[in-house]
Amino acid sequence: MTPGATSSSLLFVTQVAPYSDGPAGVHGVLDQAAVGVAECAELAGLAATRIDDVRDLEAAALEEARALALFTIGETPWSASQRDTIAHRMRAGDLALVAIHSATDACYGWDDYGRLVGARFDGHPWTQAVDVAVEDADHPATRHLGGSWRWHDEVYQFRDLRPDARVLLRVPLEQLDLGASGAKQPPFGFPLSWCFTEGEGRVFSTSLGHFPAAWESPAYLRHLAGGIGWAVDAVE
Amino acid sequence: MFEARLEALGVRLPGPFPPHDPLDAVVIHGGSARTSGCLPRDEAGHFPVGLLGRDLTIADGVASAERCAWNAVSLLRAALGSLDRIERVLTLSVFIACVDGFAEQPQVADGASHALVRLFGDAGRHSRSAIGVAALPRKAPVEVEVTVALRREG
Repeated sequence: MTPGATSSSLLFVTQVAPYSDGPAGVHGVLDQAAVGVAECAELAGLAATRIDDVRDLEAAALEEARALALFTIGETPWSASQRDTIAHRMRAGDLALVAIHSATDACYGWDDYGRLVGARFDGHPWTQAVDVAVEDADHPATRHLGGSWRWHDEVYQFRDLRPDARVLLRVPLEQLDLGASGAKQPPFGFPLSWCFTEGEGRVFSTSLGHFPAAWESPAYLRHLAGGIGWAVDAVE
Repeated sequence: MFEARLEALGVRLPGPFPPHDPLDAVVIHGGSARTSGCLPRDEAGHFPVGLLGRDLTIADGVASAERCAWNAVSLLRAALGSLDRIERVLTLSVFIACVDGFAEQPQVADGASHALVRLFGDAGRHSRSAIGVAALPRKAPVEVEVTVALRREG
């Protein structure tokens, strides 16, 4: 049974099948992430509800939520009706979207999904520490980071980044081994976090957050809290 | 000898996972060493979250307490260079996040105590406090601090 949602609620979807128990080792971090997301949501005046399976998500909860945060992988089994509700409410400015870590690696069977989260995952050839370039420091998700942020994580590669995406964080080319297996050179480089507006709605995406250390890092949690706050228009 | 015992037990220590600045993982002073509070991290750093008596069973709590103890041993080993510098365990503080009315703190804390006795034998015996609390960092269910006495050197 899905707990009821209200206009001050954030739904946190953590459906990562088939990777939840597999050798990919993902996402033992989800419990810790849920703690962090709930704290970040609270800073934006939202109460978080965790959704492990969207098939259990009641229509009313999705109709009334203020924000939808996704830490998903694979074909999240959204129904056609749920997809319509998400796209419609998001574009109307009623439902903010927050894509966390692997959320861009989901819903390949939902054409519009890539547009809604801003890009499609295209492999993560690297897991390493990088000096992330803070491309846009005039945003609540990045204002605390200075010009460069030393960070260890999976470094995602993307395709089909929306041209209107406002890139917040990007990895400088010279930080990566471009000869690594699976590495490509997309024209927009290696963004890690971005935001944009679609219709009246706001979307914030960060591909960081694979390791548990993120969910104990004040810098990461401020990044996420700033992104959530911006997406629901609660912070400047 | 404790290093050999660790290997014989087949225990793979997680971490070490040091705390953030300005905390020290281990303070060595006056012939003893004391760890910061250790959460029940596995080798990847993951740990369960929730309260005993609501979200987690006693068995979960026992397993978490044991995991906390191995994390403390891991910190001590990293700080001391070798577990063989330890003369004996002195005392444990075991904090257990639990619901109001939960009274099985000793049973949960035994997970940590038994782990240390398995590794250190009689030198692993210790005094202990097992304390129920409303919340622990990042909603971890158990946190353990360990204090050991060090061998005199030279």
